Amino acid sequence: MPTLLETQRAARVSLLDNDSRRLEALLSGSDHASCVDIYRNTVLFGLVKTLQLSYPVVERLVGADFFAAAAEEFARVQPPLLAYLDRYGDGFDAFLRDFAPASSVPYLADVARLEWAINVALHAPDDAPLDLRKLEDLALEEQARVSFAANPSVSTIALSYPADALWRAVVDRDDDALAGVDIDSGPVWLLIERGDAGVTIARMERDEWTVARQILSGVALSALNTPDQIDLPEEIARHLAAGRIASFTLRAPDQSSTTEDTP
Amino acid sequence: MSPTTAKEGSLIPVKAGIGLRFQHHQAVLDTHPAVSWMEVHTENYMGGGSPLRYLDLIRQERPISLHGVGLSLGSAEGLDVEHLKRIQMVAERIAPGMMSEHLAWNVVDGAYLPDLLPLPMTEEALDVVCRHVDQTQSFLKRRFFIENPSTYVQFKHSTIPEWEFIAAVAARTGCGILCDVNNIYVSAQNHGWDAVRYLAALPAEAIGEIHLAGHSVRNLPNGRTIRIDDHGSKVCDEVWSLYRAAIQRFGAVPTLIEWDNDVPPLDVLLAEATRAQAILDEAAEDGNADAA
Repeated sequence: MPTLLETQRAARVSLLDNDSRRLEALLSGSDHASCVDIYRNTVLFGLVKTLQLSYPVVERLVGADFFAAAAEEFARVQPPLLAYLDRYGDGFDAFLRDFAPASSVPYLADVARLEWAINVALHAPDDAPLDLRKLEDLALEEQARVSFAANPSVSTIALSYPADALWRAVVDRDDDALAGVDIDSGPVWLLIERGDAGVTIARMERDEWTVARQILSGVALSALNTPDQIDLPEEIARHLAAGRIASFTLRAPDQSSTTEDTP
Repeated sequence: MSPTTAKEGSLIPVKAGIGLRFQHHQAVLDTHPAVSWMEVHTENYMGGGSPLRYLDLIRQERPISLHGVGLSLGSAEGLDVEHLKRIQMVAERIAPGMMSEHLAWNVVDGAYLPDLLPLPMTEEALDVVCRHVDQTQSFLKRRFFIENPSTYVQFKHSTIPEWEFIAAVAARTGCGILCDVNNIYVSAQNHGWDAVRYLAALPAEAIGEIHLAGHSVRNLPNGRTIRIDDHGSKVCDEVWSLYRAAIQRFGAVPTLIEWDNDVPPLDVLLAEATRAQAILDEAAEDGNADAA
């Protein structure tokens, strides 16, 4: 008698890899293939639908059929690791970058990267912004060791193509704006977050973005690379005021490890 | 049992409720429909942002049942404790009147296959499910309710009838049963079971909720007909008849209308709930007559 694990592995191979020989050998009754198809359709349709919800602009750019084929292939090779589908779809941009049929649309992966950041912002937990009094209580020596943790809705991404302009034109269904996007206008540096009014996508100057990314990704303040023209205290104050920072830790003087959690 | 008394582990009123889907969040807040409880899929509220804010507001007006689809109680490789923690976080936020999951599996080798997949009805699977129900009830510190599945295949190595399997899970773990009458009908038709016998085998005292939904019918290439539990239409007449038989057998039980595909306007769901409520009311009247 096959074990439960053997049965479940046979089902996985059937549903994702379309090889039902092992599974069908375990089934009673007739027309196994059609019955197994019902499960396979539900699984793959569910995953494609999840990706459609997270990547609507990619879908509009390439069309429903192309998108469904790409999404199904992604679902087969990278099925979800969590039974929490809001988190499913990370890595679809990298998949599209290597997906040969999409090679004629070089900016597609950047649009997907942006849509994933939007998706993360939409579904991020509702973390409260940092209570600033906790920072004020720090000794001067400790301030240099501060390492911030961003609010989970915040992403900083740099893209080779103006994916934000493409995204906006598609969302607004503005064909003229879409036709007017200069694909070769060079890279963009973006900050995506969820605020009271919903998700926002802000374009930043390169230097400003470079500092924001370091601050928001937890580089200790003493270890920041700050271009000369950037006023660091002002930048930090701006991110704090915008509620982008949820907490901080203090790094050891060598910056290699966290020594203390905030209360 | 009085029809107004909830089962242990449930604070859901013995009335007809509806499954709440995103499409109806705003309509529910705008129209305050006279439906005394609603049920949501736990996994849809694990993130932050607007879904939880809507649910918080809707929860202020009526009890909510949390119905999970991703815990995979039948997984051979064990429960995902991180998923249990996510369920617990939603429960702490919503303070649900009841919590339930399915007699099914969907995780193997760390991959989540988003469907309610059928288990072989074996002693091994029964041990696995009972262990996981025990673990879930201990973790969440409350009684959990387990729903019977609808299935399209059966395994040659199954040795236990499904109705005995789910009754055994309830007996061994003390969990309650969420009796999906549509699922019983669908599986009975697909596999040639006797739906009434299925109902008769379930322990009435464990039934804490009933589900009703629509299903579709497909003809297979070999001429066989298969019913698919797609929750995309009204409850059919045969399932309404079986529901009456279930209420006769179990007494009045909180009853939910589910609709997940081609979700219609809220009014359509409410009309289905009204129909279920009429059957619950008849049972209450009959009960009162018997008592007098």
